[in-house]
Amino acid sequence: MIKLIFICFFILNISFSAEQYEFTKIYTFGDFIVETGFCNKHISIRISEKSKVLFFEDCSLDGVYCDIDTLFLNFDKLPDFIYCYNLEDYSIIGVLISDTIYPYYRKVDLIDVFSPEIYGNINLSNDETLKEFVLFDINNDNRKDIITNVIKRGTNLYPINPFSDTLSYYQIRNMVKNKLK
Amino acid sequence: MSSKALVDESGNIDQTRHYYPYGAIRTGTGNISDYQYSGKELDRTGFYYFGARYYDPNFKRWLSCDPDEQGWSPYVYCGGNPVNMVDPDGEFFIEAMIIGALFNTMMNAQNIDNIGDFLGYAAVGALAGGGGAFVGSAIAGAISFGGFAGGFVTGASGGFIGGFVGGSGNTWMSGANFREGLLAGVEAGGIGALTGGLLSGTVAGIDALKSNANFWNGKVYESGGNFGAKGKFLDEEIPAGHKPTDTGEIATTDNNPNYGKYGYTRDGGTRPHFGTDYVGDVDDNVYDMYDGTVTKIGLGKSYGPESVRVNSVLNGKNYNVDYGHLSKSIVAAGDVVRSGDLIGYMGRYGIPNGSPTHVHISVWRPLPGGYQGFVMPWWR
Repeated sequence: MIKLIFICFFILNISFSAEQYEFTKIYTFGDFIVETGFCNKHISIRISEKSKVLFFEDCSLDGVYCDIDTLFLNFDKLPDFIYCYNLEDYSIIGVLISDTIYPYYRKVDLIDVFSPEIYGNINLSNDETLKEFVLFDINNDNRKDIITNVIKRGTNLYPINPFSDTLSYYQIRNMVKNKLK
Repeated sequence: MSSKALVDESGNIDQTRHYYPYGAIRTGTGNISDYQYSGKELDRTGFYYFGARYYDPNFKRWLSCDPDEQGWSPYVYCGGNPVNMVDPDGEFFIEAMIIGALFNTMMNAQNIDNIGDFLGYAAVGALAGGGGAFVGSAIAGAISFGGFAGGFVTGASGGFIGGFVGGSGNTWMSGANFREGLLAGVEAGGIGALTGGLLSGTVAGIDALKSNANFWNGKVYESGGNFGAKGKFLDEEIPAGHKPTDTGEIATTDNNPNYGKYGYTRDGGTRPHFGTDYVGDVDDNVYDMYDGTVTKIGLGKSYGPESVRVNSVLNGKNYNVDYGHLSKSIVAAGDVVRSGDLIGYMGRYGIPNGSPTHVHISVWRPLPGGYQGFVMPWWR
């Protein structure tokens, strides 16, 4: 009987102390799934394989995740991801860089960009979307680069002057390297 | 000495601070210690405690009068020249006079035969030190440029007065006539102006460079580490506005007493906060701070569809005053609003789950080159 009480207490304790994750957006990249949402007082992100192998889970940032895309940066077997999250009048764009050891991903904030919705004079039509970043090969080197703050209409991208800027693939790699030093 | 970085036992950096000359935080990370600018304790009110009185680094003023009533304004910090001068306890001029008196008696020790000579040379030194500091600080407070030029003008003016008073006083003490003393004063004043100007200018210029500012005029070119469009803190003063909420309190969190303050960073990041967050509850009143015209309702997804922008002319310049995260606005674009008018109610649009309910207020104007220039909103 005492054992049973201990087990019940243990289970109750675990269930009350665990982070309460709520995922509201799911991105699929081949076999990999990235989910974003909320957890306790922060925002959450989770990377798993379709077979439900959990690679990474984080509940530490404030704001709202706005977009996720994938980009191979270090050529191990795991994909790397570019993320962005909104905070007040700006957005942070960063990289989830894969690692061979647990916890398999490391979060690296790269740059912050001002919100053109607040400081610019843009009026989006129904078929237009504001993207905090897009991946696009701008220098024809067969590597995708980052363009920040663009309006997307269909397959066309329109930079927003002066809020748009570019970060080349190799700049991204160097920034990640330097930030992880 | 201002605290720039704090490390733990392993040498890892736990806190960094970079300051503007008057002590406002330019960038920083972590919140381990309250002992920051000039090594003084940053009170939870946002003011530094200097022993004799409190100091507000954002308004660049003491909160109470100098107990010794020194200087051209007893509320001005370091006589308006914080790059070249320090004020360890809020009583700056007394120290300049004491140092002047000690220095002059030491330099003229061979001419001192009795207590009268000693007191005379001490008085000349005190007058030279205090006079130089007084004039230097008055000039520094009156000019609007910094860097080498600002330091040179300040140092030269203070150096001339100090040199003139010291030179003429010491010459008269040695028994020379009035004209000889005057000539010696002019000569010493000239040397003092040149050496003080060059020394002070070079120190101020180097300090400006360290603050990412222009060497010659001290103008700050600060982006806040942004990309594409950039923000910078403007060294411009705007008048006090109406209290934007019923309490006027700035938001704090358990982990970060500086959460809502202008110029501070959050969560260990490097990006400064370009506005002030006034805390409250959902549906609390939000009042317009400055006379102006409502130009926009809805400022993007982070501030929400009910956020309000008011265009106000302050000290002759056009500023946008943004009120973010409102649950409801009761004004429309084109409305003319007066300082103190109710414009809406506090909400939580775009505020992260764990952060306190607040209205974010930023005062800014677009600048050439894709910059947004910000000034600190404040009320009285």
